[in-house]
This record gives sequence, structure tokens and C-alpha cells, in this order.
Amino acid sequence: MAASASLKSNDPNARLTEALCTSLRRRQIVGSLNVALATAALIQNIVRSARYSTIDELLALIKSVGRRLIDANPKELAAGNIVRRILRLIREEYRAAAAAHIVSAPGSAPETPYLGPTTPGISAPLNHYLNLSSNTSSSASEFNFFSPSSSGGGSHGPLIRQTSLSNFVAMRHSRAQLERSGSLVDLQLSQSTNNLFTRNNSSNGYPPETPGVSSITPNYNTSKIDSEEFMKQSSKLKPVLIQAIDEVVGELETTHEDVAKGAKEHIHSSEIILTMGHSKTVEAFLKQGYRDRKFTVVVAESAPSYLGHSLAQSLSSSGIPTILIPDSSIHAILPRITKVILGAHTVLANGGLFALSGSLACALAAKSHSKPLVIVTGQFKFAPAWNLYHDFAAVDFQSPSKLFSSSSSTGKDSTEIINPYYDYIRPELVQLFVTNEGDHSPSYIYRLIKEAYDEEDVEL
Amino acid sequence: MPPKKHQSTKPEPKTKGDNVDEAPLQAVVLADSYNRRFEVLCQDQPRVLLPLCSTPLLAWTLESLSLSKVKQVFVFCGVHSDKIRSFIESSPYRNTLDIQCLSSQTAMSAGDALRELDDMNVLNAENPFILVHSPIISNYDLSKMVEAHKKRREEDKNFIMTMGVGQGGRQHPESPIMLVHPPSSRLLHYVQNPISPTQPRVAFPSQLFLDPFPTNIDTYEIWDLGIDICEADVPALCTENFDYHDMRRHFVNGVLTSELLGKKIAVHLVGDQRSGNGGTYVERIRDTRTFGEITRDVLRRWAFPLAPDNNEPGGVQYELRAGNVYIAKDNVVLSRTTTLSGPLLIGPRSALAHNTHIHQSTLGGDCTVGPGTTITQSYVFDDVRIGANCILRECIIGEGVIIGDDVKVGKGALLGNGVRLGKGTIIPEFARIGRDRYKGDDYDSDEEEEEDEEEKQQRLEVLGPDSTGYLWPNEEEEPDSDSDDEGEDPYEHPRNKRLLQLGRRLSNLSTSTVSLSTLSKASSSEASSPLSVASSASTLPDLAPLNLDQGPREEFYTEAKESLERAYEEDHKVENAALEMRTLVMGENAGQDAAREVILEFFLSKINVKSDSTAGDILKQTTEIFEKWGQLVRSFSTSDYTLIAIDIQKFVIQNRTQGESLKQWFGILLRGLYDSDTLSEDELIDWRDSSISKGEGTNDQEEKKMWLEVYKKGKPLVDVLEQMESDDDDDDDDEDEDEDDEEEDSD
Repeated sequence: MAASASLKSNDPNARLTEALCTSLRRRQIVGSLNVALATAALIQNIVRSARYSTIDELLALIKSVGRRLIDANPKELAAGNIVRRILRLIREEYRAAAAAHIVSAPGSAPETPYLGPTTPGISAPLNHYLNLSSNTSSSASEFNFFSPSSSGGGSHGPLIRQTSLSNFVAMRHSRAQLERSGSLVDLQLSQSTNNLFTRNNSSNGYPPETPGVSSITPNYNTSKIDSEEFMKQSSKLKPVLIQAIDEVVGELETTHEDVAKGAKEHIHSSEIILTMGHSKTVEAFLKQGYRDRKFTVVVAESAPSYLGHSLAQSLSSSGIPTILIPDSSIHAILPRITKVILGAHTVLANGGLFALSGSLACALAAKSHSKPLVIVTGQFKFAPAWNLYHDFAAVDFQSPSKLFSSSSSTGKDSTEIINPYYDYIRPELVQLFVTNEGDHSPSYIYRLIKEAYDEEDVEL
Repeated sequence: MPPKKHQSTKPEPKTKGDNVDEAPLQAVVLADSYNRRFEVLCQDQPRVLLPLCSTPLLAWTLESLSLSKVKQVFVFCGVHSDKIRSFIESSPYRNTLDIQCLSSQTAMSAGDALRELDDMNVLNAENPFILVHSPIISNYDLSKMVEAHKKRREEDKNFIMTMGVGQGGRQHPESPIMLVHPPSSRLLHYVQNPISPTQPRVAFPSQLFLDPFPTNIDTYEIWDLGIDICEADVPALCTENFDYHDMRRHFVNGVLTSELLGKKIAVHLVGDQRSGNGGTYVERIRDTRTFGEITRDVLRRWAFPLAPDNNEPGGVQYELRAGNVYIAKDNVVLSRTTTLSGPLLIGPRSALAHNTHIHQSTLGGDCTVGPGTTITQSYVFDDVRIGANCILRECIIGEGVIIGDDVKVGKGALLGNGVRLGKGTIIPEFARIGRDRYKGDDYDSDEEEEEDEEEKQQRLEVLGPDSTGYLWPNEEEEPDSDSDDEGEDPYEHPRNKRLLQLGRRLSNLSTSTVSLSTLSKASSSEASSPLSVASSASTLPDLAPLNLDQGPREEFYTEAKESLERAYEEDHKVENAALEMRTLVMGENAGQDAAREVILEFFLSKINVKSDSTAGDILKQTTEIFEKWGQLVRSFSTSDYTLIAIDIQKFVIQNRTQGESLKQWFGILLRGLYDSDTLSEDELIDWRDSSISKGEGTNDQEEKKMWLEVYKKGKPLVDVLEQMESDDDDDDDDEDEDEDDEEEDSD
């Protein structure tokens, strides 16, 4: 479905995409937040100005752009995360709008009868959509989950299943998931549109297999909406979509503050906290925490980027007692440390994460001294990737010139110099993730990720 | 002289997007090298399309330029312009850059190219442009250099060019000496300084030092990047002076020496001096040597973010494995028994059979390597078939080459496109083999002579009957192309040219790394400084004697002798004599061993041996001499004093005139040294136990015998000494055989 959609080469959006890809490739934009913001801005631009006649096309277009961004720098997973998130929002908005359209359609469209309550397939789900929050046992979701063969209404489905508690729990889960992924609405929509479709083909029978296929995609449905009708919709939809992306941007911009809100819950008075690198999130977190609690921060200088230097400066300039140590002393100083707080580059679905090189040393030292390791991060860094086997280059090897001055001509050829930028930290080393939306343990990350993105977007 | 064009547009910060008001930054890439260093490989393609890590050099260059916010690129093509055109047509850079190909068959040098460029009137006269001499790989933003140039020009309109220079890096045969005035970065003087043959002297015009610049010289290792920021005056000047060919040798020197012109050239140091040049990497591919070096640098990620796995546009996707091994993601077949030792790169769809060894090499796409083949530090282009059990060392294999089984390709060999080597061929070192015959400069298509018999014979001898290809003359034998009346390019000197080849080592040449001196503001003592400048400047290139293995030069020995003679005759203090010797050793880069030898030789020759001399006589003389001068000898053998004894032994054996007479008195000499405290007992025992003293150091039987003979003369004394020592300690001496010796030999 995506193959056909790509930007024309003369489109200004193509130029913007190319520019962003190039700067990603050249590492002119680095850092998860910057990448995320740039991506969101680009997608917003595309949504605003690109030409598309169906929602399908738009989604495919965004997907193709997302794929290019990921290809441009596979190590910045934030770009993909943002694209997935926006895709999901667009689908949600679209469904909401489409449902609203259908609801309002009886009034607006002259031929109303087919949308009337007489249609058995549509009445219950529609009703359900409107009372989504209150309706615990939804016919549509059960229907979708259990009985592909049951035809039409599916009102008897839940009745059969609700007998056992375990089933009930399973149903809740599947329902929650469906709700999140929007396929609930999707399903209703599919039914309504299918009705619409079948009416046009003057066939009254409802195809029994359709509602059972759980992976009904909006494309399937929307392709059936005639474009005229959609255009009317899309003109209304566009501002909504742009607004949705604005929300994402806003969320990104306030990530640091949101994460930092919980600081005083996690930092006690007179703690000695070890951190390294210069994560903006950690910086905000510590500064926020210092308003309520008095503690000391030990910053490892984090060679070879020496980002620790700037963090130490920034912390001490806002009055926090700060000690800067070389990386080599991390293990030695750890007995005096009460907590290790690190930032992340990307958090993976298994609860492992990539962080600035040296973080692994910190994490292992913390582990061996049984000190808690807390990762503070925004949820936009959660990537739907299972990195049980991560490939060698994932730690992003940089130029050796940081380690070794190339001005001495000897040694350039004889020495192999390895300069990874990230470390991979296994989930078992991490005690807690503090995010902008609550605190989670590593084993729960997969769940958050599953809820945050649509499954069909995992592979862009 | 063109009127100084006033820069009407203020240099604004570049913004992305097409700001129509601002003139786009322009760059000129000279696609032709105007030399023949890559010629074998360039029979069907221009040099700029040679693949480095499977990406054409032009693509690397364009990537580097677009990194530098360049908007418009003029590729100035000579031969094969159609190929360059079609490459650019299909390249993804067309989307981001405005690339235009200008082709000219007549331009024979960079100067010609600039003249034609001036004629074409494509350059924006208001703004400077970037001139790239040879393909570059860089992660440096050249627009910073442009900004610096503009700033300089705001202050002084006479700056017409800024040359990029880099710091550090490898030694290269083409390193010039530049004199720079740091506060203004103005280039004062430019001399080409080939490594070989070394120029014993470099002349600097005296007015440099009489100028208002108070001077002292700081030295950096700086090299020329081959990237210039030029004003429109530069092509114009080239047009005016039709004899400017080489941009450096002619143009730069012409501008610098011409008082009339009043133009100035600045240099811009790329990268930060303090922090190990701050991760910037700028290199250009000038010859096969740099081709190899840069390939390895790229694989080692020095040019990061330009690295093979970083998704070059339209390029191949590579997977990075441990040890800087890059394998294309597209259908590479590796055998289980293949050993890979990085840094290396294997292109898409290549297949390596079992027991292949790849070491620090690059393989292009669609290559096959037969079983048992070893490839070391070689650069194999696309579509090459290599048979079984071949050995390839430090060579470049062109596109579509077919190599049979059991072929050995020697160091530094270049195989042009489409060459085919039959089974068992052995390619000599530094050979060049092309598909077509070598064409000299005076080549004329009309007089296509047939291959003469001798040549054919030679070809068959080397390549065998199954091969297709022609042996090209070696680089150094190649008739000199540049023998114009204006004097030849010192870099094109055959001896220097050899060093430009892949596989040649510079390490055995002594390093004269001082390639740039800058004149900086002296804080004080203006009067004395010109003197120091002159002296240090003139001694700079003298530091490079090429024959390190043969020991110091003849002058050292004569000078040392004279100095010792003086010291001996005039009875100088030992410390003073030692100081004098040390200075001499430093000055001549001679080393301690040579110094010690010469000192021993001198003093031993002072021992007067007559036919009727008795042992007592000799002992007395020796003791006397070494009582005074022994400390001098000792001060030149810091670590191992037994070397003194060995040196004496060597002297006795090898010196015909003096040694012969002293040979029989060797034991006495040692005794004298012992008595005069020049050598201690332990040192003598060490001497006795060392293998060199028994002549193990030589392979010559005759000589070994002599060593042994002399050794026998010295050994008893040592044994006696040891005996005495152990007697003192009331120890048993369990070395019975030594006792026997001592009995019969002691005198």
C-alpha cells in the first residue's frame, strides 16, 4: 500500500525531507530530542501541504518519509518513534472524524436510510463508540477477538465468554489494546463503510467474514469511501491533524519538565548522586529536585566527549554541590554514592537502553555495589525494537580523532582505535525508568511501547 | 590587472532554503589531475570516478562540498568528460546541488583550466569560490574557510586567495615549506620541498626578515590541503600570465614574488590546533600512496561521519562488524574458513571461497575470490575474478580484471581495467600493467608502431602467454614529461615520484618533518632574531641524511678525530672534551656507538707499539691514557660498558695497521682498562660471558676465528680477576676449566 506513495522530486516537501535526511546522515542534527522535534516539524509540514486524496495515501506518504529518515541515521531511533506516534494520532483523529462524519451524515446527506438504526451491524458499535468509556463489555471487541465466523451483530459473543474470570481478564486486555490501537472504532467504521459499500452494489447481505478479520486496516475501509466525500472531510480533518502534531511537539518540548516533576519523589535529602554525560533530562531532573532536597552530585567527566564537564558547570552554577571526577574513578567512588541517575539515548522494548558510552561502566559498578540505577527519560525515546541481539555497529562508532590526535603521524596506521558513542545497558542492570508519564520498571517497557504505537507501524 | 572588485554584498550568514538575493557558494572541482600517476587505472574512466571504498572519488568530493553548504559545483573535466557527465546525471547529488560539467580537451594544466574557466564566465565575480585541485574526502565545513577569507578581505582587499592547510597527518613526498605571518595568516613564502632528493638548502628572500615583521620561527607540521578559496582575480591573473601552469609552483610563487601585483595570499589552518584538530579530517587523493592511506583512514572512521556504514546517498548499505570490517548487506558470500582482519570492506554480491585471507583491503562489488587466496592491503575494484591460491600484496586491481590461479602480484603493482593474468603469473613489484600499450607524451596516433621483438619478449617473460595486457615502464623510468624550459616540478622528480607509489615506505627515510615555519611576533630582542632565523632556516633541510643504516657521514669521523686530537694535545678537561663530542654527535646525528668507537680508536692508536715493546710498557701506556680519558669513553656508553671491551676487540681485529700490532697485547689492554678503572671487574666478566666476544656476531668463519683468538688472549685476565674476587670472598671456584686456562696462560 505504501509503495505507490512517494513525494515528487519537485515537491518542496521532498526538498525538506532530503534536507533533513542529509543532516541526519551528516550528524548535523544529533540528540534524540532534536531529531524528534525536527521529524515532527517535517511531518507537520507534509500533512499541511502535501497533496493526498485519501487518508491512506497520507499514511503511506508519512511512512515512506519515516523510512527514509530511519535509513538516513539508523541510530537515531527517535525519528521513527515520532513518525509512528504521529501515524497513530492521525489514524485516531481520522477515525474520530470519520465516525463523526457518519453520525452527522444522516442530516447532511440526502440519502439517509441506509445509515439509520435499522442497519443491524452499525447501531451497536456506533452507540458503543459514543459511550466508549462506560461500556465495559463491547460487542465489537469480543466479536473481533473471538468469533470470526459469527455473523453480523455478535451480541451473543460476550455472553458466552464472560463466564470465566480469566477470560474476563483476557478480554479486558484485548479490549484495552484494541481501544488503544483504535481498531475498535476501526471495526465499527469498517462495518458502516462496508454497509455503505454494499448498498452501492445493491447487495443487502453483510459479508460474514469481514468483521472477523482483526487486522482490518483503515485503508481497506477508506478506499471505499468515494474521494469526493473524503475531500470534504479532509479539509476539515487537516487542521485537526496539524493540531494533533502540535500536541506531540508540545509534549516533546515539555518532556524535561514533565520528567523533572517527579524528582523529589526519587531524591532524598543528603543523597550523593552519581551521573555522567550531559543529559538535558538529568540536568532538569536534578535542578528540579534541588528545590526541595539538598543533595550532592558527582559527575563523571565522560571521556572522550567530556560532556560531564558542561553538566558539572551547569549544575554548580545553579548552586548544587557538584564534584567532577574522571571516569576511571567511578568504581572507586561508588561506595559513597547512594544512587546513580543516568539519561538514555533510546530505550528498547526489552527494557534495555542505549546511553552515552561509559554508562555501562556506571551501571555495572552500581550493580556490583548494589546501588539503584535510575534512568530518567522521555517516553518518546521508547522504540519498538527488541534488541536482544543488537548488531555490532549499534553503539555508533565515531571518529578516533577524539581519542587520538591525528597530528602525530605515527600510530595512525598501526593502532586500531575504537570509539563507540553509546553503551548498551541490559535491562537487569536498571532498577527504574522515570519518564514523563510515570515511573516504570524495565520489564514493563514493552507494554508501554505496545500501547504507544500501532502494531502495523512497527516496521515502517 | 583587474580592478579590485568591491564586495557589494555583505557576507551574510548562509541560510538554508533558496534565498535568491544571496549568491550561492560556488566550487570548482578539477576533475583532471594533469599528471599521470593513476594513468594505468584510468584507461576507460577518469580519475575522479575511481572507487574508494566502492564509492567514486567524485561522490566523496561532492559529499564533502555539499557538507560545506556549497550550492553550485562546476566540475571541470578533461578526458572522459562523457563519463563524468553521465555519473552526475544519475547521482543523487543532483537533487541537492547544482552541478555543471565543463569540459575542455585543451587544458593541459590547472592554469589552463582556470584560464578557460575565466573565458566561460560562469563564476560569480562578486563572491569567492572554492577551488578543489584533487578529489577530497573531508568532514570539514569549508564555508568556515570562506567566511574567514571574506573577513580577511574586508580588512585588506589585496587578499585574493586563501589556501587551506592542515596540521599533523602523515609525511608525504609533496610537502612544501611555507612561511606564514600568523597575525594576518599571510603567506610570505612558498617552497616546494620534496623528500627525495632532499634539497640541502632552501633560500628565503632576505626582505622577508627585514620587513616590519619582527620574527622568530615557530614550526608546525603543516601540509597543503589542495583547497583554495579564490577570488575572481585568480582566474583573471591566470589569463594574464599564460605561463602559469601549476597553481602552486607558478601561481602562488608568482603572486608572492611580484611586487608589482601587490596581491596577497593567506593560509587557513583547518581544525583546531589545541584539541588534536578537533575531529576534522581533510585529505586529498593525489597518488596511489594517498589512495591507500586514505582508504584505510576512511575504514578506520577518521573521516566520520563519512564512513561506509553511514549510508552514503545512493550507495551500498554496509554492515559494520568488529575490527572495522565492513560487509555489504547485499548477498556477500563468505566461507566459514575465510579470515578477515580489518580494516577492510567487501562490496555487494562478492563471493569469497574457503581459506581466503583478506587483510586491510577493499573489495568492490561482484568480485569472486578463489580458495586459498591471500589479499593484503590491496584495493580491488568492481567485478574482479581472482583465482585460487593467489597472493596479492599492496596492489590496486582495476575493474573487470581476471586473475588466474597461483598468481602472485607484488607490492605496489597496478593492474589496469580489463587485464587478464594467466595461471602462475608473477607480477614484479611496482609493475604497471595496462590493457593497452603505454603511450608516452610524444605519442602520436599516426605512428602506431608495432610492438618490437624485445619488448614482446619481455612481456611474455613476465606475463606469460595466457595473459592479456602490456607491461608499462616503471614510474621512474618513464620519460620526464615536464622538461619545459621553465624548470621542472621538483615533485615530479623520478626519485620523489617513486615515493608517491602505493607500497613505498617512508619510514626508512629520515623524517624531515619541519614543513612549515611561521613568523610570529617576537616579544623582544628584535635585533638578534633575524640571525637566528637565518641560521635555523638554513639548517632545516640539512637534517635529512638518507642513509641512516650506513652510520654517520664521513665528516663525522674526521671532525671527531680532530676534536679529540685537540683535546689530547692541549690536555683539555674530560668534561669539556665530552661536551664537544656530544655536540658533534648531535649535530651529525651519529649516535653513541659511533662516537665510542671513534674515541677508542683514537686513544688506542696513541699507544705506541714497537716490535720490542714489552708487556709492561704497553700496560703502562694504556693505563696512563685511560686513567685520564677513560671517563670520556665511559660517558659514551651509558647502558652497557662491556661494549667498550667489545669495541676494543673489534678494533684490534678489524683495524689493519694499528690493530695487528696490538692484537697480541689484547689481554694487556684489558688489564690497562681495568687498572685505570675504565672497566670494572663485573663488566669484564660480563664481557667474557657475552657471546659477541667469542665472535658469535659474525657469520664469516675466518673472522670468527680471529675473534676467538683475541678472546683467548683476554679471557685469562678476567678469569684471574674473578679468581681474586672469589678468593676474597672465601668462595669455592667451581669453574675448573677456567682454572686450567689460567694456569697456562697468565702472564
